[in-house]
Parts: sequence; structure tokens; C-alpha cells
Amino acid sequence: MLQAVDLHKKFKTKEVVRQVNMQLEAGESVGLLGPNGAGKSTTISMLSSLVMPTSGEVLWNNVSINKNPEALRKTLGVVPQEIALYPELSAKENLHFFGRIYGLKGQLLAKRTEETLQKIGLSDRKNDIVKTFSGGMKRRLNIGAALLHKPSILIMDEPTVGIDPQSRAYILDTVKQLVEEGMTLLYTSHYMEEVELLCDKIYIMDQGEIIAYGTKEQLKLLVSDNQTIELKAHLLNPQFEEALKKQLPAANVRKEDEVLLISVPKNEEPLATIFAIAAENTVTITSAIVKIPSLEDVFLHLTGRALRD
Amino acid sequence: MKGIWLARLQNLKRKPLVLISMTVMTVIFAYILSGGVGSSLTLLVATDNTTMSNEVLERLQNEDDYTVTVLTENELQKIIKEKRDKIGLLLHEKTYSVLSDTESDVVRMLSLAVETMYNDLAFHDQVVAVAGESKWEEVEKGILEEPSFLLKKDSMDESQVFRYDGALQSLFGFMLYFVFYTISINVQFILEDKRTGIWNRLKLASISRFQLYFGHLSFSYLIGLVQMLLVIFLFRFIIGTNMYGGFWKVVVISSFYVLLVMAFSLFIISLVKTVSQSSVIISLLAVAFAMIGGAYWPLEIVQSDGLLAMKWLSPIYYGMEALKRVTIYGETLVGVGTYISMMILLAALLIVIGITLLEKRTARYHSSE
Repeated sequence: MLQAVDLHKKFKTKEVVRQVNMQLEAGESVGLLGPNGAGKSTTISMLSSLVMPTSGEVLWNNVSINKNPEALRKTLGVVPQEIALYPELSAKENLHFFGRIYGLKGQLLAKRTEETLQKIGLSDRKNDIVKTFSGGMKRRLNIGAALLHKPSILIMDEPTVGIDPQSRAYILDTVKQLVEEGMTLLYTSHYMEEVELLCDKIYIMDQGEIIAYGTKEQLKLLVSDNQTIELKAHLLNPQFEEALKKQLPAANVRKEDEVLLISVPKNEEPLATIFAIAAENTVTITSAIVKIPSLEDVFLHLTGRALRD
Repeated sequence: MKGIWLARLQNLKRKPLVLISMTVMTVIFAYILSGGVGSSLTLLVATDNTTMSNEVLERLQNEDDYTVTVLTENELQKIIKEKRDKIGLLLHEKTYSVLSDTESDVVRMLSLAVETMYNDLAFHDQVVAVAGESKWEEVEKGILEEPSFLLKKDSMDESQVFRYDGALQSLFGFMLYFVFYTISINVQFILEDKRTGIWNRLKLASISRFQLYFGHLSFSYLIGLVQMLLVIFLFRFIIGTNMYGGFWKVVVISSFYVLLVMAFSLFIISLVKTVSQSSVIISLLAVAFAMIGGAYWPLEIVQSDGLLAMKWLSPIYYGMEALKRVTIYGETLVGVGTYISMMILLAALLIVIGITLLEKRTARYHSSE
């Protein structure tokens, strides 16, 4: 259906996307996971025909969109990372505007606007000016503007950035519902839990390249030989971290806030060693949780960095 | 394109302040600085009661440009001594004196006008004395059919005779200056739409680049033109400013000036990244252009060669000169063809450069992640 073949994108001398190959089948929900600056937005800009690749091509139903983007654009909805709305207009006026540019008119435009407002939960605020909306409401309307023309494929670029948990949950529910209704979805995010919740297939991107892809289960198999120990302690100090790295050479140790995450091979029994090292370094461990692998662990395993670094 | 226009109209409806404030400021500044209604010059006049001096007085009284108060010579001398801001005129049989404390453009223009009246009347008297009244009628008809007007010009060289009309100087100057802001602020919508991602949304809806630029630019153009026309109509038909029969020529030139400013604003936004950067640059340039382009004062009084050389850089200069020439100097549109051509050529050039740079910048937005 939608396919990226050997996509490269260079801006001046900087190559921001390298040899990206992706595929989206009809009805599939695909996640594109990666940290900020990984090249996700450039990749989806090329996939949505907004940016021409330096080399490679994007195929829509096996036809290149590089020269003929119209066929894809008619069936494509894009939710950009920015709030691409007119702040001085009301929610309804914004939807009317975007509907009109897709050729919707009269009763059909009015009907689609009402349906969309209902879907995104803004029917009761439809006549309010967008600049008075909360961040979450703006994000919802941003999604609505991409749904008016009933696209069959939806590309969402970090649609939950900078909003409160309640709005985020609402948006995720809405997207989940769209997927269940059969929408083909490409969802980019650096929140792995969102991608885990919404997507069947996941591409992990870092520094312009796809470094892994597969289903959630397939990706987790990459780190199934590992276990992560989440350690909380009083007086965590750098000497303790250094000692852990020295005495557990197979472990990947990193600190997030006041929690120490230690990724070690499953066949090792490191707890006794960890407690011993803690005692040597006068660190009092308050809790130790052994966790099953997550996509975060997959990313850490593949890049040696946390997803939000 | 219709969609873009509707969105822009709705935006304008919600935020009409820019258009209103710029129009109101033009009117206030032009009205105050031109000296009020009709902007006629108040003259205190005394004559020696000879035929010639009375005829000149009658002519002055019939001119819209002057409000005449007739006094005796003694009264006139006394008032002029007491009130230094007054301008007095003492008319004799063959000569006249302008009584003023300052040597201003107004005084020079008044002298020129009075001298012309004396010459005209003397010429009339000579013709009548030699060939009779019927011959004069024939001569007068000939003059009307083919006026040998002193200020007919084909070049852009203003080193020739300088004519000054304070009312039009203020009106044109502030009109061209303030409309610069209105148009620029409207053209900035392109930058804002690109920044917010609306531009990409429109492109994804298969709106062509031509439609996008044309929609935004044509709207900005019309808003600028509407502001100019409002001011021109108000001053001509409500306030009663004398445009020397060049009203429609003023309208035509305004339309070319708006085009140039629109193109210039497009060029400016193509050089910057944000709307705030563009606003700062436009504010600085508008003031600088107004100064070197002759919006605040006539360029004829500028002594610095450096400043005069820079006038060519200012869009306001082309508009200002063309407007002054079709009104005060009575030029035809063909006569100011050089200025109009410059405005069109510069506009075309700036549009091409502006769009090219903006398109390159659009590509750079995607590299910023």
C-alpha cells in the first residue's frame, strides 16, 4: 500500500534520513518510534509527499508519488506536530476552512463538521475561538482537521506533545477507535507506551536510520535475554554506579531521576552482587524491582541510550 | 484560493485593529500636519488701491489655497511686527512685498504665485492695449487649448522648479508610510502559515503553490489598496483637499505603489525566520524609507548628497514622486511612466526573489527537527 524504498534526505551537507525502508498495509497501525532529532518528521514529510527525497522513492499502491502525489493526497490525512489552526477562528470555522479546501461544500460540509466535532469531543465548544482552548483541545481539533475528508490513511506526528494526561488519554482513545474502525495509521512518537498501545508494527529510528522493526513481541525478543532491575536507594552516588559497571561488565547501567536502571543478561543473578556493592559504598537500597522488557529497553539495548535522552 | 480569502476575511473580522489603526493614523497625521481643513494658507493682505493690486487681491481671494484677510498697510505692518507667525502681503501697482519672519517654502511658493498673477495681468493689459479685448479672448482660448505650462517634465530630475503643497505632502507621505505597515502585517500571514503548518495542510489538500501565494498576496494587496482608497476618498471628498484635478491618477499610482510594497514585504519575510523578526525589520525599514523617500519632508529641501542618493532604495520615493507629479505638477500618467515602470519592475523582481527564497526556507523547516 504505502511503501518507502531506500529513502535518503540531505539538507545541505547534513544527511538527516538514511536508507529508510518502510511499509504500511491497509488497516495496519504502524508506529515510528525514536528520540527527538531521529529523523521521524522528515521521514513522514517524505511519506506524505511534502518533501522530495534526495534519493529513493515513496510508492502508493505501487505507483511512485514523487511525480504524482495527487492520488495519495486525496486519501491522506496528516496531523502535524504543530497546532496548524487559525487561533482567531472558532473550532467550527477552522473545520469549515479545512473542509472547504478539500472541496466539501454545503450540507456535506456541515454534516462532516458536526461528525468530526463529535468524534473529537468538541461539539459543545464549536463556536469558541481556538486561542481560548486548552492545549489538549487544540490538539484534538488539530486531529479533527485531518479527518474531515475521511482519509483512509492517517499520519500523526507526535500528536500528544505538551498536553495534560487527561487530554492525552482522550486523544489515544480517539486514535484507538479510528484504528478499530479500519483506519491505516502511521503514528510517530517518542512516547513508547503510546506506540505500544496503538500500533501492531513498530519501526525504531535513530540518527536518521531504521535500526529495528517488527511487531511489539518481535522487538521485545531482541532483549528477551535481558532483565532490567529498577533500583531505588538513599544516597546514590557516582562511585556506586562506577562500581556496578566495573563488577557487572555485562550490565547496562543508567540513572533516570533518582532511579538506577540496570539491564543485565537473564542468566545472571546480580541482586546479591548489587547489594554487596551498595554496602561497600554506603548506599542503602530501599527497593529493587526486576522488570520484564519494554520498548524502552529495546531502544536502550539497540542504541545504548534512553529514548528521551 | 476562495478558501484562503474567506479565512483571511474571518481573521480580519476578528482582528481589524491593524487596518483601522493604520487608516486612522494616516488621517490624523495627514490632517494635523497639513494644517486642517482645506489646508489653505491664511494671508493678511493690504493694497495701494490701484487697479493692478486690486485685481491681484481678487485673484488671491478666488484661490482655494488662500484665506485672505484685507487690512490697511498700517494695520498689516503692526500685526506682522506683533505676530511673527503671520504672513503678510503688500500689493502695489507694479510690485509686491511678502512680509514674513521666515524664508520658508510656503513664502517662496506664495511669491511665485503672486508673481505669476502680476505677469498674467500685465500680459492681459498689454494684449488689450495693443489689439483690444476681442484679441485677448482669442489669445486666452489659445492658451487654454495648448497651455505652455512651466513645469512640464519628461525626466525624473526634480532639480527643476520646486512646487510645494503642504497638504498633499502630509497626505501622501503618511498614507504611503502607514500603508507599508498594513500590507507588511498582512503578508506576514504567509510566514505564520508556514510556521504553524497550515501551509503544509493546504499543500496536502492539493492547493498549488501558485494558488497559495496568489491567495495570500492578492488579499494583502486589496487590504492595502482599500486603506489607500479610504484615505484618498476621505481627503478629496470629505475634507476637500485640492488634488489639482489628479484624483484618478492618484488612485492609479496608489495601485502600483501597493503592488511594490506587497512585493517588498514578501521579500523581507523571505529573509527572516519568524514574524517578530520580520516585524522589527519592517518597522525599521518603513521609517528609514519614509525619511529617504520624502514622506516626512520634500526631498527638494534635503542638502545631503548621500541621503539623496539613497532615495532610489526606498519604495516610498517612487510612490511619493509620482503622486506629487500628477497632482502638484499636473503631470499625466505617461509623464510619470518612469516611476510607474520602476514600481512594476521592482515588484516583479522582488516577488520572484521572495518566493524563491521562501520555498528554500520551507525545505529548511523540515531540516530543523
